[in-house]
Amino acid sequence: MNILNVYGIKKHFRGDMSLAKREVLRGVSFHAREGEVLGFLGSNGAGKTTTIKVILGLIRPHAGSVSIFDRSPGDARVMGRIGYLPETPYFYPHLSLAEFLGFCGGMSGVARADLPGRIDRVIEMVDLAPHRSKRLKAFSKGMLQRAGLAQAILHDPDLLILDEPFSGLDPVGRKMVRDILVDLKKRGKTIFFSSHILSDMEALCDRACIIRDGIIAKSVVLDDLLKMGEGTVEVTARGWRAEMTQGMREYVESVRTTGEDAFLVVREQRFVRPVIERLFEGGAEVLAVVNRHRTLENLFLREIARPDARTAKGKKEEKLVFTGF
Amino acid sequence: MNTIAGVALNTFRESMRERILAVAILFGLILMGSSVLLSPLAVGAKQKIIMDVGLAAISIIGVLTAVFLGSTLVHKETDKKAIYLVLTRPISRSSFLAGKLAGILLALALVFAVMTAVMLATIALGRGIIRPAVFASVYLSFLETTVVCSIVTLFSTFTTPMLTSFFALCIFAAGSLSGDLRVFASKFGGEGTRIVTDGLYYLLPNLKVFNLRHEAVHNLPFGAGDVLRATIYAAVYAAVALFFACAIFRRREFK
Amino acid sequence: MKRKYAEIALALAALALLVAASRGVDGLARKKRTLEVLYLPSGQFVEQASLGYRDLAADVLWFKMVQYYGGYRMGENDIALFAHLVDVITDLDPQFVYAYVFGALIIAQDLGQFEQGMAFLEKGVRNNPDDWWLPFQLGFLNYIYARDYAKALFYFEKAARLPGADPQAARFAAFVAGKAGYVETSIAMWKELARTSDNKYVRELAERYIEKLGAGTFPGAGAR
Repeated sequence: MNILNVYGIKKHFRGDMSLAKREVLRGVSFHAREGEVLGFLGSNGAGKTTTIKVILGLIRPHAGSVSIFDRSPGDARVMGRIGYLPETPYFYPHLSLAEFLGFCGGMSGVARADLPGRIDRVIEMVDLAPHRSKRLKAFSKGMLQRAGLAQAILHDPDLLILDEPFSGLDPVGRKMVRDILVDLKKRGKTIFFSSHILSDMEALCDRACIIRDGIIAKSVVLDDLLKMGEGTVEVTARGWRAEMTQGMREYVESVRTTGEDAFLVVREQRFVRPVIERLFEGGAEVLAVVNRHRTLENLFLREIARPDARTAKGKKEEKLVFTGF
Repeated sequence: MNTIAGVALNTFRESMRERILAVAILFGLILMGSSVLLSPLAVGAKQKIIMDVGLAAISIIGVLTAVFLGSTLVHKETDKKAIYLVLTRPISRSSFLAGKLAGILLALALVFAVMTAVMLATIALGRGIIRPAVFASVYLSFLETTVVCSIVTLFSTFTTPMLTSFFALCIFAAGSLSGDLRVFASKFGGEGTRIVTDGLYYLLPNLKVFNLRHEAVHNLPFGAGDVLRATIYAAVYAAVALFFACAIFRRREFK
Repeated sequence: MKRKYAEIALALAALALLVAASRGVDGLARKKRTLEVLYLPSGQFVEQASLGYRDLAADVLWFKMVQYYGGYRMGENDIALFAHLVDVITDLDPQFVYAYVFGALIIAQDLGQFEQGMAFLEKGVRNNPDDWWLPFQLGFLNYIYARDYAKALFYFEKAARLPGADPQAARFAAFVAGKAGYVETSIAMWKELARTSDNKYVRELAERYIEKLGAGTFPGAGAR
């Protein structure tokens, strides 16, 4: 069941001084299923935060639709089931942590009787217990981030929408957030979050979408990603010539050259040895042998590097060479 | 309904911790204290001056505090994005604004209470007589502050704190002059001017109805009916201003 | 260390400079104060300018008036504009009874304009028909300056009849109705005023009158 459905969202902004429209979202579509962890990837300015704000009803799109739990964004009936952590959170400076959480919890519909217990538990979870009576204005960035996560989970929402939940945290903090998210997932919650820290995303997400220039450029299931290229080995050779690996199509998936060096992708571990022997016979030098599987980072960087249909800016070209073996 | 109360209480708590409240009360104390100290110089008008200063201080400080507190409170929240946390919760934008206004009024009520207590003390010190009209005058000043507050809330939904303060103060001045400009225009202007000034006259708050200071100082009679009418006027004006504020706020986008 | 002393010395020098500059313009400021009174606009304008705080504006002008009169008493300025000042004050606050009372006294006494003082008090009566002090003052001025005993008695009795009247009104009526002459009655009235007034100028005036009356000379008012 799809908890979150985003379909064809278009949004443009008018520049402050100019009359020119700046199209930020050009038809974003994706969905999140119940119980899954969906990652949201994109460069700065690609439209991540704007998309999230549209989902939450803070911004109205010019076209397209969003449905959360089968209702429109901002509908009071469902907002209580959503937990939101904004990018660079900043709260009421004069309130203490406990007061702040009390306010948030009350606003989200947590019963008065349950509130103190929940607050205590959540403060423990984000490791801010010694600071519960301190005013928020004395909090560091990392502490504010934790407080932000606390208010997002306090009312036990079914859907979590987190904008850069790992930002501003040290490694200990990041582990804490990861553990919390893993725990939430285990309890069947749906999590939708954006991040720049791809290794965290890889570890946590079931699926990930990449947003680029206002549309979803790619959507990938992480399990598949890992399977893609599972077991392949990349051999770096210098002085390779096509004839050397002629007839080895079965062993070698592809060869890529950059200047003098060639990167051969060998299909399976057991084929590495014959390939290397062939290379040595031909007089090439083997520089490196790396067990390679596709990471989210590779995927993301490749996606970004692809030439843009609109602006036709490409990055450094890779020559994909299929030899006629 | 409890979410309006929740926002109101939170706003009240925030206001209490704003330094401006302490400054306002301190300022009031200084004004009233100095009127007692300077009263010997008044050669014969001692009680009148103490009471005049007291009532005027409450009125002016009430309005100024309302303007500065109101204009910064909503804007600070929006600017600092704390507002995202409230608007993404099951609370309507209208409830949020209503709660904000209620919270500020609660804070102002406290300021009024403190300053009234001090004023009563200074009147007693100056051996004046405390009459019911004094309380009625303070009450009407509070109604006046409520109206100003609702105007501030309206402006704060779409403009910066500085402009909000500026416009609110201009409207306060215009509202205090109220009928006089209209009379002036009817004498010297043409038909067009008359329509414009009539329109303005009815749109701008008529603050003269909240002024009972003269009657309080000179122990003149006043009608309970007048106080009731003023109360209704204040309630209606504030409600309408809040209505428009909500209408604008609902359409607002938070980029 | 030396730096800190230098900074303190500089700060003190700056303050001293400021004080010196303020004293330098003090004369100018004082001149402006008098000019302010000269250029005081009509009551209606001041009314508008003071928004809803007319009584307070009246009080501010009252302070100015006190300074203005005090300056006159010390010989620093004349009081040609005194009447205008109190006129504006009572336009701003028509129920400021004491302004009429004191104003009329000074207009009659120091400006020597008895009729104008009367008119002023009558303006007060129009705006405050139930206040005893105004007819009381009408009676007092009629006695002391116009020596119109009949009118004085009439006003004193009128005052005594008004609600909340001070027993002083009845007492003064009795003084006039009594067989004592002008001097004796006047002295009695002034003594009474000196005893009850909390206005130092009035007390001074009373003492002067008592002295002169007792010595047999009557201090003239203004031109006389």
